[in-house]
Amino acid sequence: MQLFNHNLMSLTSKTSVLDGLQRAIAPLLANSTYRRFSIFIGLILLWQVYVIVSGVPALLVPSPLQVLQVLFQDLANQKLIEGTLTTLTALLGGMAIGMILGTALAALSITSRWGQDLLSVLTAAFMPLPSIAILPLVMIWFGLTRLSIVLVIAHAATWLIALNIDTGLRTVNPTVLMVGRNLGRSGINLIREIMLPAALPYILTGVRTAWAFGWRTAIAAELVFGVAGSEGGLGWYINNSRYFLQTSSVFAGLVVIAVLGLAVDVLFRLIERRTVEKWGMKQQ
Amino acid sequence: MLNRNTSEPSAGTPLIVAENIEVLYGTRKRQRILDQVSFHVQQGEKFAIIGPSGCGKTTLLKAMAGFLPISAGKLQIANRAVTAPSPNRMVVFQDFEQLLPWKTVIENVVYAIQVTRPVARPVAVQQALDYLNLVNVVDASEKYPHQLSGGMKQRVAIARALAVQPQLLLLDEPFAALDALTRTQLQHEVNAIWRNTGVTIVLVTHSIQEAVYLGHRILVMNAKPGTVKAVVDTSQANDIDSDEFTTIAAHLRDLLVPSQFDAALQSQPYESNLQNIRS
Repeated sequence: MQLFNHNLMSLTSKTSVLDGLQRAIAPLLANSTYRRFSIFIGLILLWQVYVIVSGVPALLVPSPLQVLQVLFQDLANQKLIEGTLTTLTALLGGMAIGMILGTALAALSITSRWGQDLLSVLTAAFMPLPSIAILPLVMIWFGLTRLSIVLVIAHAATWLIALNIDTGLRTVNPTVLMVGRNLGRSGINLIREIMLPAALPYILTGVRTAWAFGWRTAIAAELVFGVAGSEGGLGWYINNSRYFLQTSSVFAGLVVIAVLGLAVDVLFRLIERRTVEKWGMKQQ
Repeated sequence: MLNRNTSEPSAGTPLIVAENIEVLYGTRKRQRILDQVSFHVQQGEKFAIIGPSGCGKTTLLKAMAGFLPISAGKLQIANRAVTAPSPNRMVVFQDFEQLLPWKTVIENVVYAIQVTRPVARPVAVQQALDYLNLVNVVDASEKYPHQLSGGMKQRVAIARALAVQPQLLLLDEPFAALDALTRTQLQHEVNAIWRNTGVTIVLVTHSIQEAVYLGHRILVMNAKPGTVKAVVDTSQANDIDSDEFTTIAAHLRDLLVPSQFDAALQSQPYESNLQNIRS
């Protein structure tokens, strides 16, 4: 054992610089975040090398550096920021409508049998419809306005939120409900103090999934809509860039969508960690 | 602060008066769960209900709590007909998940206090700590329920029920899912709680040993439909190692197992303890 240690010592002294570097990196590589980050960087590097080596025209595949340059340029001249804000505004509007309608439908559903049947008929009819499929109809009814986009997003969000809140309220542990009633709570107090917190894991899942669907729908709607519309969002920015063969801008738009999607995902995960995970209520 | 009352069960008006209770259950084909159930429980008494599974003992407890309406008969608690749940009759369930998972242990108790009586928050917090101390879980007061063991959860549930300062504590097999050691410990603590607070306790259990150890009197039930087989006085059998305890436990076993019931009747040495309400 001692001999082995000695050998090791002499070995390390020879390659002390490399070893020191390895020792500095090793704990980082043990961390999954850093590992994933290095994979990400590696793929970007691969992309850059491919563009340089293959000599593919920037019109088809711009290099990561070119994309980054356009990204900063369009962020600076507000084009991308305006587009992003437009899309996010529509998304928030659609989500707000979805949450109000969804909560109302779930409330109807748990308070009456007719409400329950209404929810199951509505979700059976509308859930299989990709929201983008109703865009033409909405455009006929409401014209080429932002309202049309908002309504399509609301369609994407409402059913998911209603179904999840309904399931959440229905699956509240009956014992916990009895505890609430035993303490003299009833009606709106029982819902607010016992049922809603108990249903929180489902509510969060509903909002999170609705957001993901809404986000996809928003971009898709803008891509279709943007051909004609004037004040388009990110989808329009991408489509417009394609029209002028500004491939770097198309990439820049995609990067913004990916980064925002990731950011919202992180936000939801943070909320979950501070609530349902901390309380041991997270659904598997 | 913990309303101390170490006096023996009083012989005044009974706290619980049940006369010919009947409970029907089920939406289409109404099944008779309880039939002609009658008994009295005195203020400050520890009353155990025992019977085979399906005898309706939990149904009876839920009727007393006000969760299930009775179909016929009379059920009065503190001179009032039971119509709805009330903080005056707190239930501790068997289900470990009866604590609110989004509140810490202390917040569970503070919530129960604050929704049942008008006290300022600092007062409620102090009272909650006192009750948690009573069941030896004050060290866990900042933890969330999912961080506790089953035994700890049941202790907190008992503390929360007591903190409401009910006249009646209804225990629905609260220790059935615990390991033997924890169960014994908690049984001791229930007796200690009773000595400290004098609260009237009704305990549903399927353990003869638990019933004899904790109950002053035991209501023995028949199954399908649930009827009263006997009420056995066990107030003399407090020491678990005494001959009296063993004999009464054996007697209860005979009552609960039908095949041995007849033999037990013929040679029964404890007839004086047995009051047949209805044969």
